[in-house]
Amino acid sequence: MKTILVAEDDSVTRMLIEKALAPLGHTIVTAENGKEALEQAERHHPDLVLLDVLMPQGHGYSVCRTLRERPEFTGLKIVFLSSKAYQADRNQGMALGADAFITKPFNVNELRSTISTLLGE
Amino acid sequence: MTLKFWGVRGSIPTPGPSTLRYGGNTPCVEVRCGDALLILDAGSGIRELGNALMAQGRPITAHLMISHSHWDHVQGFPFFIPAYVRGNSIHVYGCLGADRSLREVLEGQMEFTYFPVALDELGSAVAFHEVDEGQFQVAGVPVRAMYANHPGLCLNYRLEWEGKTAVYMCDSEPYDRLANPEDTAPAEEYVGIVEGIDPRLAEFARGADLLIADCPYTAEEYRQRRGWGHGSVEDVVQIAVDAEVKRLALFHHDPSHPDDKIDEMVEHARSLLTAARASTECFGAREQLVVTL
Repeated sequence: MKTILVAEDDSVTRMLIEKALAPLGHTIVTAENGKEALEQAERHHPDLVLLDVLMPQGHGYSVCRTLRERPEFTGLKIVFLSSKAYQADRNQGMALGADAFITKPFNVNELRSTISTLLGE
Repeated sequence: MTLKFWGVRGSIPTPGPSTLRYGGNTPCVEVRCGDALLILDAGSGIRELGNALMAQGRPITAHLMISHSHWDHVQGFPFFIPAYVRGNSIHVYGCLGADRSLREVLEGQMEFTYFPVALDELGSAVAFHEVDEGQFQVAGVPVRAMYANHPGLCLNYRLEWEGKTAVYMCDSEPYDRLANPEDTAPAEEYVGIVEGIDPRLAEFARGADLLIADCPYTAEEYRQRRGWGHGSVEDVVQIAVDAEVKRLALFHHDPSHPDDKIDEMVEHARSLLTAARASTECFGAREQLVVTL
């Protein structure tokens, strides 16, 4: 069993994501903003982070950058899951070291398969 | 609260005979809340504002609120003369960049390759304040910030002062257009709350005495420029109607639009507001226009 951190400020979307990931059988931990995402990452050392971009108290790009700078998170998979659908934003997210960038509204099967592939399942 | 427009054009300065009435400078709006001087964006319009401030002959404390770091919103900063004068204080607010600090964002365009004076050579005391979506105060003025849908990171600002509210909604495109590019109902297997975001924009502007809104395109132009990060007259009017704002300023005019075209867009917006039975007053933002709330 792996641990997935879902960082998403919208409570309804967060719940939808948790519901979508439930069949994968992993442990899900959540965060409501960028600051909390970093705290949860330190606390739980997840295998994968699903990261919203537009969050209060630290946008997703800054969270991604911080995680990539810290050696204790080497090997962590980072997937952006954002309503920002611009190619420029996708490019920026990938340039910061993300493993994938999925736009909302997301396809449940695409989300699950992306996660499973990244977790080597 | 008094506001003065110093730059109203989007993308690039457009001086010339076809833009004389509305003006060709890129975004800059001076906001006075009592003694506090707030400045929304540092497009090329900030140069003239700086000159006007210098003419007053007094030390200046300015609070510059950057919506985002695209050129047209920061390019005037190196030409803001008060920033060069010892004894002045410039507080810069804006969101943390995707891959660099707010200071580095402004510093970059003043590097040796691009400009002869470096940021750390300015005479004034320049302080940087990285802000986020949420609520905070700027010079004692309550401010709310909300991310806009625009490539990169862009903040809308809502300022409230002595019972009056101005909302600066610069560079924003409805989320649902990109989420649903074919204007069809999303497939059933797609989930995720995107349709819930656009109404939040109207909620953000709710009851504003003045909404300054990004409005570079007609509906026909928008169809060719979907995904560029901006909206159309129809989009802006819809927000104004939903939010029940008192006055709507069409702003961030497209650089290809001469004055007559902006007149047409303002008239079109007014007809849409009338059709929606809204009491919102609409005008095109133009340089030197002063609005007192």
